[in-house]
Amino acid sequence: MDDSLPDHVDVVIVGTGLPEAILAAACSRSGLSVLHLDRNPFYGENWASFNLNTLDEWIGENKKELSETTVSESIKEKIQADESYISFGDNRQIFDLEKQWTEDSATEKVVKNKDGEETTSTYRAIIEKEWRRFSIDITPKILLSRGTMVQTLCDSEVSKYAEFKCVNRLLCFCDGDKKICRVPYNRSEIFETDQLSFVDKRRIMKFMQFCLEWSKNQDEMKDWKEFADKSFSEFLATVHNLEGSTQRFITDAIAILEPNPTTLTGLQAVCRFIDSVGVFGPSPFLYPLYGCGELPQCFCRLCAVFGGLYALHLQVDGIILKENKVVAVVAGGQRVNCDHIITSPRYAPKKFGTLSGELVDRAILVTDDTILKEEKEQISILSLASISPPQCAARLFEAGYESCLAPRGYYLSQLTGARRDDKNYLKEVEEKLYDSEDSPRVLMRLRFASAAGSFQYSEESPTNFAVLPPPNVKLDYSDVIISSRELFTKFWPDRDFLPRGLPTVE
Amino acid sequence: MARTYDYLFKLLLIGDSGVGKTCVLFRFSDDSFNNSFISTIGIDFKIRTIDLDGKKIKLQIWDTAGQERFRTITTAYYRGAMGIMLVYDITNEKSFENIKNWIRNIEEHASQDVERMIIGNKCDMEDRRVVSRDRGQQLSIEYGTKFMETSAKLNHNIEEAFYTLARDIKGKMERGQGQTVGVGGTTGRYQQDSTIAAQGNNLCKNRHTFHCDFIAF
Repeated sequence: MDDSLPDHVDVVIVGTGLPEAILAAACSRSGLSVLHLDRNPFYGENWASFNLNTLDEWIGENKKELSETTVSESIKEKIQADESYISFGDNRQIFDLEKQWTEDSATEKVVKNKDGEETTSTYRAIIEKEWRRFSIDITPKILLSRGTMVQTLCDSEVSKYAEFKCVNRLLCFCDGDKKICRVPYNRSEIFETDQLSFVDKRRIMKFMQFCLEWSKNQDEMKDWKEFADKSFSEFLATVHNLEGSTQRFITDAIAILEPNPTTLTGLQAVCRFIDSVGVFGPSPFLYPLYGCGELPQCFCRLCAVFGGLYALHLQVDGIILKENKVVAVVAGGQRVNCDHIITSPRYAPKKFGTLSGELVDRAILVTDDTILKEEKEQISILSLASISPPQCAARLFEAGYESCLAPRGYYLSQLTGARRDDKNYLKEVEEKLYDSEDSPRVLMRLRFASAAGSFQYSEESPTNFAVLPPPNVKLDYSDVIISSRELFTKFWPDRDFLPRGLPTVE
Repeated sequence: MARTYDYLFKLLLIGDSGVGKTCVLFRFSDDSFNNSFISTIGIDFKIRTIDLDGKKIKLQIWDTAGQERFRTITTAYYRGAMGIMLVYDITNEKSFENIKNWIRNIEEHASQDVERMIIGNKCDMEDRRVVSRDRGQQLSIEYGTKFMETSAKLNHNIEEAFYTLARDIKGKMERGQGQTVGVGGTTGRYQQDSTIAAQGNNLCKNRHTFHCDFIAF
């Protein structure tokens, strides 16, 4: 079969992160010819998930010094006299990488071999032997059951390429931050929990009732407008008599979609939460089996099914311009003419703009137990709002074998938080969470920061060139769909964004 | 909705571009053949329900969507697959040699207990044959898989190949081996977990059947 790239396509998309994958799917689905490229040998860029071995390769790649790009003679030959050429960027997206096996990982553990004999092995050896069973998210997020991501997955039928589980446990700190406890968030849980007094149960129920009505006609509701821009806690305390742990349940956990909320954003967050409760189960949140790295791949598959062409692990050289418009890319030593080029922030030439510079801090821990033991394995989100600055939107996502993220008996604990005032708050949080006697053992630790923010175009950026945003700190995917759809509608206003697939006959 | 089958098996087709994976798939699912398939566009998966020893087995057979062309099959493609057909073209040496690479891919990304089968397609083109039957046989022995030569064009051994693969999976499942979950495989485990309604299209269907229990407040 011919291994050469086509001479012309409608759209070239560079980078296979989630926003790029969604856009590729949308273009291909609407009949545009798509060439989708990546320098990496894997799909997903910084939206990927890795096993232990591929994680090490990823770390190695991201620690490499960036080399200056040079324009070779063979590229120059492909540029005509009235055209100009600019190299794709290779902008660093991952910073401050630090990986270590902890002292605990050298501890010996008794394991049974196949014949039932007992032998001892270190935790590290046990884990490394099971390297394939890990699926470690570079960008862990959750799907809101009635959010735009689930809507898009369903409409486009991309949902058939993946499986999802409910994030069944919502946790936050209570009793003056000394204890982690389960947040009751539906009627029966609130009724049954022993975390709340009878009076508080009634107050929470009353507040939920208020939210339901508020979501329908907030203009007619009383007692909230004067608090709209004030803190949510103040509103909850003053109007609903919700204080202490009960108040934290709401501000930290149920309103987790909007960290550091005002009364207005807090109420909106609670309403989005409530709206998604009971759609696929009691929990409003879904998580893809095998990790978030599945999602970009699923959208890429849709793109491919509709004829999109994929080439990974490819040298992606640069852009050919004519009269300040993009006319072609050079990749793998070939020229491909195109009408549009869309890239991830990594590939954007600096001349066309840069990211605004925010960072998201991440910590990934492999542990030997869950942060809060229960009979069954759980998928949990723990709000860290009370033990870190609330603007950081810090939280912990923990899952294990049941989500196909780790070998049986081990957990992945994923901490995420925006960097504020040049400080990585997650380090302190991690110590607080894992340094006590009875906390789970941390066996492996990976810390890094990833570029966030928005892309600021320069005046020189061509009108048929665009950059999609990097992963942000938000817990759910809504923004990703919104930004991909916005760009699609801007370039192709007459086309439908990911409409329903063709009817299939069985 | 009443279930019209006893088992659902997810099968994959894998192999180099142009070996005839989509033709094999169409022959089996629609009993049709088209010489002019250039590359795969718009084929996601096909479904056919077969009877095997009194059981109705729904085979969901996935095509590569052309992503094999630059060796860019997604790892997600392998998830939950219970059987894989590795296809080469008997008139194309390279496609035969690449079977080894595809097997390496499967070993890294698919469930450890996935059933595999090697298929030498286009056996109607005897005059252009470059890979002997023996070499195909030898390779399958090396990897401990079944082997068949097929022709999607002449409808030779296509039924047999899918039936054999399905029978092997069924046998393994009924012996209980299918319950052990390998890497990348949800085989067994997921079929039993009724709390996860969010699989595949159910994600959409269930939207209408559940109601927000907050309405009760």
